[in-house]
Amino acid sequence: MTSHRTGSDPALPAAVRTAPPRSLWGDARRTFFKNRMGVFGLVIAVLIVLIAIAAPWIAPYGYSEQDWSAIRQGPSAEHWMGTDAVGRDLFSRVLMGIRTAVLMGFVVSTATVLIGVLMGSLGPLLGGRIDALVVWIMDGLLNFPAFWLAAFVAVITKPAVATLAQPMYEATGWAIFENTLVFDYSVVFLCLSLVWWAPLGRLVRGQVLTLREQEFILAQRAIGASPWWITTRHLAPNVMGQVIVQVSTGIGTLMLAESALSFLGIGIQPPGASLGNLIYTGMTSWRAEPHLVLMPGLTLSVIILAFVFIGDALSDALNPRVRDR
Amino acid sequence: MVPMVLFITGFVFLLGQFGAPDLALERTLRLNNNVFDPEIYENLKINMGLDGTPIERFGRFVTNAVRGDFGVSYSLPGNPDVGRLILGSLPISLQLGLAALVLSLLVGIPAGVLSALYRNRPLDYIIVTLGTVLSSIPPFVLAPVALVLLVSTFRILPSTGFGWHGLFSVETLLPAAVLAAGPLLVVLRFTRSSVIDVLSQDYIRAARAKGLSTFSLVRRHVIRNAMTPVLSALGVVAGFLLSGTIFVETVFGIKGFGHVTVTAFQSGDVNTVAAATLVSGLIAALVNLGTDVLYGVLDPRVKVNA
Repeated sequence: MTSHRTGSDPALPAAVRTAPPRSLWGDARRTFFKNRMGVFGLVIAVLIVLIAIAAPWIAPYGYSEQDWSAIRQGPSAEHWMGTDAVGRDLFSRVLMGIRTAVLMGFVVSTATVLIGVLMGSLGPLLGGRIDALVVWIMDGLLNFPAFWLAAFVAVITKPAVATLAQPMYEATGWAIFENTLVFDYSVVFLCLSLVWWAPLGRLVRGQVLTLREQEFILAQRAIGASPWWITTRHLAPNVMGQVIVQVSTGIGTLMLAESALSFLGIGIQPPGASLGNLIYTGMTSWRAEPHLVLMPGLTLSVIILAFVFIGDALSDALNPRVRDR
Repeated sequence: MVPMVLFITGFVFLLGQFGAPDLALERTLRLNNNVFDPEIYENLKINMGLDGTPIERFGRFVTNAVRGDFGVSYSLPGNPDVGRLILGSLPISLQLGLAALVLSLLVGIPAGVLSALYRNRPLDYIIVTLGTVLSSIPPFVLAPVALVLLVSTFRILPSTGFGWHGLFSVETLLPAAVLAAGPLLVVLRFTRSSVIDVLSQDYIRAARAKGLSTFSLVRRHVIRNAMTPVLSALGVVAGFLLSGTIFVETVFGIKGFGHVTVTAFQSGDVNTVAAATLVSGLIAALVNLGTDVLYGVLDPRVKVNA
């Protein structure tokens, strides 16, 4: 890591010494913003998040509001993306679908970071049998098609979540335990976070294992730095860079996973809006009303592509090995 | 391989048998007009293999699974045997997957070689960006878009014929192409970086020095040496194909393994879902083992300890 050398370091050659100090993050930011696709992705992603936050206020109609005088209409000035078979405004539903995807993407990402960092650092820290167990679980999860496993967990846990909610509703009387949409959201959240942390866990574990053995950590130990100082000042910043790259790429994948589950009918279900179930419902009449499937489909594609481009640009910017391409 | 299989089996058993609703209870209520009868319940439990301690049940689950016995489906009419259901649907999906694999290799490898030869030039960017776009769009979006464009707007492909019409029919082209789009980027990227690696070797410079044209250089020296690393991508490719087949078969109404799985997903059919998950895990494990072995055969420097 050359990031902590400053311009006044006498050990450096004169030409370097006169250059302004550059940090790892400054370098990364510069490389990132040079990448046109990455910047494009970032702009779209920021827009998407803003839309998700403001969706209920931007949407011209309620997302489950039915207008029986306007069913199966094509795109028009009143209904920008047309209406579906029961007269719901597709534009409003797509907006709410974006909201669902973004919500799931960010909430599940947070959960996977928590689980991944915990599991990844717990192994090397505690060692022995616990380490072996964690590695075994991670290997198992990583070798399995993640989406398949998530779908399995969703199908199996759905009735359990519903039966769990019943006594909770009786005990508290809160309407939240009676809302089927909340079940759907919690099932999707549960199954995705249970399955999706494994790559992060492996990354953190690998980083912690290699960093621990490096000279700069040894040097810190030699000058008497406390374990807390080493962890927060040296281990965490070095691991977090990689974690941020993986998470930001992962958000897109998670949004896709939510839509995919909903597409298969095991995620968010109507009247709740998700891009996946909009596509599924639209598929039934793709010949007559292609807009019903194209609009949510293209929206989803744009979102996913934006996050893919961000991820590519970030990994180029933060990976020192690719920099000399 | 062995820990992987153990992990899947344990996971599927734990969730399938203890996370799921009580199947025996549901059937008791259905058989007895929603009145709970303990005698029927206990008999059904024994009948459905839900009695005994967890260890006993796990032993029975494993011995039955090894013999291909996953119980019967309780949500499909006629309660068909799950093992037979899956076995009957697998050939279609394997053919579809094979077609998609061949397609993605046929497109991905030449594209990867081209973008490596034109590295960091416009053609490279165009190929990689196109590949990224094609692969990133999920199959359940790509399929409808392809249908609307190719079938209803431009009428390039016949509009009839959902379902399975055999491996070499026109109707198979679109599903296979959509399925192949997912792993395309992986093949392309692996080929590209591997070819770039090979191009910087001394023997390539020697071959150029003796006056070989670019085409024969690539054909004789580059491809052969660059393909071994690409093999290691096959595991990832298989993962894409396994998950992708669920969506492609749903959209195109092909009654294969993915279709059986989705039907089970939607009706909450625990036995079928568990069996399908187990089978797909085994396929993934087998593919990984296969690539490792093949890797060792093609590259004598690699030692296989599977």
